[in-house]
Amino acid sequence: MSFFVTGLLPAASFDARVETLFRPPLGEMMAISPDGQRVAYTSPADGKLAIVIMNIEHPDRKRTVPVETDRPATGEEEQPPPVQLRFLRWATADRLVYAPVERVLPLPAGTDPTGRSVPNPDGPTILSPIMAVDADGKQRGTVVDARNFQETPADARRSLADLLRTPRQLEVTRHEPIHWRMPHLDILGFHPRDRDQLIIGTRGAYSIPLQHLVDLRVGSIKEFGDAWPVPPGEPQIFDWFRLKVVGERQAGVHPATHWRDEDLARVQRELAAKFPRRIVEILDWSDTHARVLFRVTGGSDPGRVFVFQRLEDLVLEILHLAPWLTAAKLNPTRWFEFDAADGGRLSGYLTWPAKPRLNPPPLLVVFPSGFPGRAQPAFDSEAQVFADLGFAVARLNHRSVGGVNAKDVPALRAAVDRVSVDDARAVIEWIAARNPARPFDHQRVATLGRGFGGYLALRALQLQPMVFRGGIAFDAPLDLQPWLRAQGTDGVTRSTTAGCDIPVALIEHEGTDWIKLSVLDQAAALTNPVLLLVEPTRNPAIDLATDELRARLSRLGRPPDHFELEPGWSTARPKSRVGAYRKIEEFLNRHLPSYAGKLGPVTEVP
Amino acid sequence: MNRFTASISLGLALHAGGLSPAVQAAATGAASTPAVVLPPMLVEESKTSVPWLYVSVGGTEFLSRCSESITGEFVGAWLEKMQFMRVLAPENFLARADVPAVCVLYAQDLDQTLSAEIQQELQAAAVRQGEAPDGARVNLAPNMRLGDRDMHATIVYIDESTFDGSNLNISASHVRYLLLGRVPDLPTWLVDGLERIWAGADFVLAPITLGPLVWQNQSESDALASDRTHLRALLPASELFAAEPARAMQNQHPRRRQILAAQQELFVRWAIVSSSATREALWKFAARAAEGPVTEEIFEACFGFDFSELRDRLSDYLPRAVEGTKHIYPGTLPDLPRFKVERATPQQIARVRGEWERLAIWHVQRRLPQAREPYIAQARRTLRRAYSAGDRDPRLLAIMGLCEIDAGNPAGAPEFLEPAVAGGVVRPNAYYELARLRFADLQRGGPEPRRRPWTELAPIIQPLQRALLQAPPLPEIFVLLAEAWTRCEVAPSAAEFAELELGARLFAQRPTVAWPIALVLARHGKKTEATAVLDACDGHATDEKTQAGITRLRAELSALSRSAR
Repeated sequence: MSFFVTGLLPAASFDARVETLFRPPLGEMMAISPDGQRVAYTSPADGKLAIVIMNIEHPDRKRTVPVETDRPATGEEEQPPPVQLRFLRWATADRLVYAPVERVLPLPAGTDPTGRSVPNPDGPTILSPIMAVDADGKQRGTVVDARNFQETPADARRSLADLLRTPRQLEVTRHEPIHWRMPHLDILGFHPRDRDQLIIGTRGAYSIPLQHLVDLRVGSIKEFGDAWPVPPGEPQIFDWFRLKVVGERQAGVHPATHWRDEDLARVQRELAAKFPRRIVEILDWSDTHARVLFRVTGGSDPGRVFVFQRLEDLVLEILHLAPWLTAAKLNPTRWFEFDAADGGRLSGYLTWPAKPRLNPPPLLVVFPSGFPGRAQPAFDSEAQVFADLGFAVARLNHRSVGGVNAKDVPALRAAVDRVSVDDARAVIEWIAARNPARPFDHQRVATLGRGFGGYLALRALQLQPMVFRGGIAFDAPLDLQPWLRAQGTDGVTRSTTAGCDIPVALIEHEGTDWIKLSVLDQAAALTNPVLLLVEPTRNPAIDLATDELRARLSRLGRPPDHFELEPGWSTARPKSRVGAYRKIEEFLNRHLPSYAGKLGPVTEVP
Repeated sequence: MNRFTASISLGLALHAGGLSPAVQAAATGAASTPAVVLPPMLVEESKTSVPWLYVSVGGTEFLSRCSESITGEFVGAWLEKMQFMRVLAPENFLARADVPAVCVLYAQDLDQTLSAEIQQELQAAAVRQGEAPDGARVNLAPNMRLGDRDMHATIVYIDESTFDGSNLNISASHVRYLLLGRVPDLPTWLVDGLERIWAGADFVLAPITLGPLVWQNQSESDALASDRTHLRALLPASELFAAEPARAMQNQHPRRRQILAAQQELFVRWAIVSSSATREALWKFAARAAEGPVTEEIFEACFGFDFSELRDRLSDYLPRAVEGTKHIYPGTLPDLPRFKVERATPQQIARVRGEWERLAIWHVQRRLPQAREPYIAQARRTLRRAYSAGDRDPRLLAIMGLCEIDAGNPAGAPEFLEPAVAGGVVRPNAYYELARLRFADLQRGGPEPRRRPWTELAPIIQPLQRALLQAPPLPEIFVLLAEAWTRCEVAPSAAEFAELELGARLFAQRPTVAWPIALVLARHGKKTEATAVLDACDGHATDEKTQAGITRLRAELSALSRSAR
């Protein structure tokens, strides 16, 4: 008996499936116009970023506007197109303002008279275009950019005429290099009396921070004397009409929003009732709240975007984020949540194979990447891949994902690995007890994780070898001490989270028993099959420990499987993923059954 | 509650033959006056030599004055189309009746279908009202379905020169009628959804072909068909499946109502065409929804996914539904029942034709009272012809008794209903009417005592109990039974309580039935059960009197509950 029947998924169809599962969503940033008539959203188009503008009343009038700057950067004729926006908002009912993520391009270093390299006193070049487009897609262009505020040092202007010259004019006039710098641009909002007046702030360069009014109609800039408030970023939600914070995003097992605005809170409740068991995220609203733009995620669906038309009490679906993935073609995913025996709240998602290859199907337990980490997303392409391969996939959240409970701290400090592994075991027992009609194969339970999750996936094999029969680890830190130290040092100070989503203080303290926490030091206890997937040179500590573990296990006569991930892996390039998933399929198909047969007496690691 | 239902929509619709919905039988006068539609009157046997033919098959008695071949073709086509209907709507979701339906086929000259007597009566009435003698606008419906409490009858005009059985179709309104007659009441979304599917289905070219779904309007449908990402508004499942009281509370914006109507069809269509699993789930869910409000958990138990995913699935399916046709292959259907077209006996003619003519009385009474008498006379004439010839078939007697009630002569009904009931007639309405008349007699005897002895109420309760053994279960029977037990000195037995509770279950969404049942349960000490019955019908629309009664009863039950604590 084997995990899979090899070859059930032909290579071409599997590749295509992975490609569709990991294709980028159609929309990311979104905004609704003040009158609620139009919606704009960013969307990938032929590998480039574009903005789609749709008219809700006349959906046939859809426009796609490429996001590309219309001015070459100073000294940089060929610039890669922007891939992300930092701002997208309607100024008026028919004018949209957007801004690509700012790019800072340092100038090449210079040399001193002795020929030594010295930092360039100018620049850097800051590309921070703020652009506008009319609702019909016409009249598109950059309204203002950082170079509009390029500055020279005060001493460079020696006459009254100099004060009126731009740095470039100054340079031309002087016939000598003039030092210059560019400020960063912050978008502060629209003037409430005339929303065609964009308020921006400059910071950096030679001046103190200043505020300016940019006329979106003509692009004229003038200084703005008011101390306009800087809109707070996430997690706070700013009402750009009422110029105040109206809510706050809250992390937890389910992302939620705490609304300070009564009306938006009411809308949230109404929408929650319309989409039970889903995550409803209000994104934007029209001036009067008559129309509200929101996104729904959860279940087996990658997500959809709607406009709530409150007058008619209708929710208008305007965008399916991945229309190529319909619910009927996906493996069903269900949220689970329960109290463990010690009172800890355990949660996660269970994806069940729509077409199991074995009955009962094997179970893949996926540990979260960090600690306490972020809540698992409702839709996960990778879980779909494994469910396609015939696995039931349980993606776990750490018990502390919504915040570490004080009563858990001693156990976590003593053995963070054991807490997580015990929780994983509790989850699989709970799933088995709660779904008697849908059993999984207890003899075929494998683990998977990446980063710290990969570490836990292997610790699970060491701590509970009778429960977890095989493990797959991506870029796993096999020895926590050097990994935390390497990650947590930025050259000067220790980071509290070690740059790897782990609270260092929780693990590293005077009582830490590093050997007990190390996968590497307890290599002998790793009796079940292991697949190590590593992106080489990404993390020297991981590379080193991986090589050492491979050597130790080889000496023990059970060399682990190993696979070098392509560099594209971390950016989720579908093609590079296919190879890794093929390797995992091969690993599970080849190793687990034979290991299951060889298990024999196994002693658990103390 | 109306005893009869009447419709001029055809139980059967012919695709060909140029049939008009109604034939003008009197000169049209003022165009502003809406025309009154009357059932056709059948030509007396004495005036025509065309024989009546008779077929009894598939729960319907056919009486035909068409040729033998046309009659056979019609009956065969009817049976075939009914089989197709059950593919879309299984038998247990349709009205069930132990009393055969009646179908009268005729091919006579339509001019003959309004008797001279009626025409004279109409002209006289017009003169009395100061109109020109030809002023009354009366149309004859050549095809019509009339319904009674426990059966329905259809009359169909057939132009024998153009008739083609393969073009026969069952009208969507008839499907609706059969769905609405089912007990417990089916949810609105199912009835409306199936009716719309049926209206757009074709049973002629392929076994069952569902045409493209129309979403809101044709231009919206075209937009969705040409662009799968076209914006669409779908209602959440909780609003789609809301019970009537909750629906009444929903936003009634016209666009929303339009979407609701289309989405009901979309859901039912999706469930029927997607897979055998979703089809099974649909009927399981529909059966559950007929018993009371549904929850997401109930839905999930049937379909395996939740409300939100249903919305997503319907949204994904919508562009395909508006795009093209969908064929439903009914699989291997059972053989059509064999039947034989025979010359009708005088008894069959009297009974079937008499039934139709009796049903016409109430319709005419409601639409054109001045034309009522000729219809009464004709029905009596038809029925008495067999009776005078010595026919004492309980079915004939039941019709005669019911005819007297329809004719406004209830005193003359027991003479026929008593022997019909004694003869064990299969006719729930006959039992009900007899019990009702007996109860009225009892109440006429003097001031209503608070309690009556069993011996006085047994003649009312017992026929009602016998009627409960026949289909369809009539809400009126449960109401009368409850009223009788409420006044009875003796408490119902466990089995008799079960009968009452059956009524509460079958008609849980009808406060007019639930209230008297709750009352009798409360009167005989079953307060918890009474409260549960009232809770089940809570929010369903009803008349002021019933609502007042429910409020009063709830107050009494609360007071009793408080005092018990």
